[in-house]
Amino acid sequence: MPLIEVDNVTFSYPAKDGGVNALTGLNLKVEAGSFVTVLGSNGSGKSTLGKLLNALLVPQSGRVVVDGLCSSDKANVYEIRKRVGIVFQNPDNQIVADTVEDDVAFGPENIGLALDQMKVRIADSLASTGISDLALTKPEKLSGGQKQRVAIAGVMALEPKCIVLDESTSMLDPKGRTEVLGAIQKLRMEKGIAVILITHYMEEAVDADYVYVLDKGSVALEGTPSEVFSDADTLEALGLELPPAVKVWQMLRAKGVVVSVPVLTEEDLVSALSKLMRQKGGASC
Amino acid sequence: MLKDVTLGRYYPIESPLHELDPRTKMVAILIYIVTTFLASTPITCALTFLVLCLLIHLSKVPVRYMVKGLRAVVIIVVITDLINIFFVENGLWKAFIVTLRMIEIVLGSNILSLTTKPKTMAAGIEKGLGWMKRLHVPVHDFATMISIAFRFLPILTQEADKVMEAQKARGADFESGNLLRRAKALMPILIPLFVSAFRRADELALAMDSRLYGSGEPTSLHPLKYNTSDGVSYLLAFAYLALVIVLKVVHV
Repeated sequence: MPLIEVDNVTFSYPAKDGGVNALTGLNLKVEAGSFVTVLGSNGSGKSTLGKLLNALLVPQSGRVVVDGLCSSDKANVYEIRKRVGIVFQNPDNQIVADTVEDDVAFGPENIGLALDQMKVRIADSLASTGISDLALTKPEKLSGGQKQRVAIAGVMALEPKCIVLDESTSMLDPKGRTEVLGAIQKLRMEKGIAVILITHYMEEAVDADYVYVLDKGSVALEGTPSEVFSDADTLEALGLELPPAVKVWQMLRAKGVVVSVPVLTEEDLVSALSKLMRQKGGASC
Repeated sequence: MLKDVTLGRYYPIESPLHELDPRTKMVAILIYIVTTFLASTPITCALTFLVLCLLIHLSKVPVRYMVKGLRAVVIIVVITDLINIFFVENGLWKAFIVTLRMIEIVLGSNILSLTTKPKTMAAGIEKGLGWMKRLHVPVHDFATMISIAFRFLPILTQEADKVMEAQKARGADFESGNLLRRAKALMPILIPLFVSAFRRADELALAMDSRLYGSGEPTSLHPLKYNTSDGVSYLLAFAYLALVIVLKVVHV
C-alpha cells in the first residue's frame, strides 16, 4: 500500500460566484521513502494539493489517504499531520519563536512531548539539517536558506514519514536553494523520509523517482523524469521550461545527432557528448 | 526612522535578576509600583528611590541604556510638573513626587523587560494565570499571541520602512503640512502594511496548524521552576511592601 494515496480528488475554494475547481479528479500516489516532484505553473492547483496532503484542506469529493488514515475523518487530522509535514514558501511566515531552538521545539511542545524526549528530538533534527551551531540564534539573523532549514528541522522534530516542500526554494537565492535541496536529499537518504517537492523549476525534478505535472487541477503528464522531459511539446504548452541540459539534448536529437542515453543533468550531457566525440574522432582517424 | 522601537528589548547579559523566574519578577515589580504610589514623605520617597537604584545595580544593565527608556515620558512629566508648580498648592513638592513616581514606574517596568526574554515573560504569564484555564480562559493562546507579536515586531517595522520608501519613490510626502495632513499621508503606508500583516497571519496560521498547534495539552522546552533565590526575592518584596505600609501608617 502506498504511503499517500490521492484518489479522484476534487476541491474548490468557497467563492461568491460559485468558484472554479482548484483540483478536478486528481489521482496521485506516493510510496514510502520515495522522492516525488509535482510540477505546475501558477494556478495549476499544486499548492492546494500540498495543503490536502496534511489535512489543512479536506477534499469535497474523492479521498486523501495517508498511511491508511482518511483525511475526511476529523478524528484523523492530527495523526495525519504527524505523518506529513509541510514547509511553505515564505521563510519568515513559518518561524514562530524567537530562537531557532525554540522554533524547532514548537511542534514537540504542541503534541505534549516530555522534556527529555523533546531535547533529543531537537538535537536530532538540528543535526540532520546541519544547523546545530545555530540553535540559539535569532531568526532575523539567518539567511533565507538557513531559515528554510530551520522550518525543515521544525517539521522533522515531529518525526514525519513524509515532507512536502511547497515552493520552499522559490524565494531563495541559488546558494540557499542548493542548501535546502541538499538538506532534503540527506534526510531522504539517512532517514528514509518520503519527499514531495512542489515546484515550477523543472531542474528540481531531475533527481525525482516520479514526476507529476499538473495543469488546471488535474494530472496532465506523469512518469519518470526522463519520460516526462521527453514530451517537450506538452511541457511547453503547459508553460514549463525544460532544464538547459535537456533542451540542448533535444535540439541535438532534432538535428539528427544521436545521443541515445536520456540526458537529465549537465553531467549527463557532458559525458554523453564526450562519448560521442570519442566515437566520431575514432571514425575519422 | 522606526528603528528606535524600544518595546520588548531584552538586554542579554547574566545577572541575578536575569536568573529569576519571570513570575517572581512580575510580582515584585508590581509590588514596587504599588509602593511608589504609597510613598509621599521624604523618607518613603528616599526608600523607593534607593530600592530602584539597588534593582538597577543588580540587573547589571548600564545606567545610560536604562535611562534611554525615560525619553518617551519626558513631555508628559514636564507638562504635569508645570501644571503642579503653577496651579497647585504646595506645587513644588507635588511636582517632585510626580516626577519621581513617573521615573520609578518607567524604570521599574524597564528592569522587567530588559532582564526577561519576551518568550519567558509569556511563559510566566501563562503559568502564573494557569488557574484561569479552569474557567475556560485560553491562557496558552494568549501567551502564544504575545510571543508571536514580539517575533513579528521587527519584521513589520522593517516592512513599514520599505513601504514608506516605496511610497516616497512615487512622490508621497510625509514631512510637510500640519498634523492632520501628515496623519492623512500615513494612510498609504498603513493600508499595505495591514494587508501584508493579514497575509502573513494567514500563512503563519497554516504553518502552526500543520505543526499540530492546539492538538493537545502542550509542554514547554523551558519549564518554569522556582529556585531558592525566587523564595528569597518574594520574601524581600513583601517585607519591603510591609515596611512602606508601616511607614505610611505612622506618617514618617
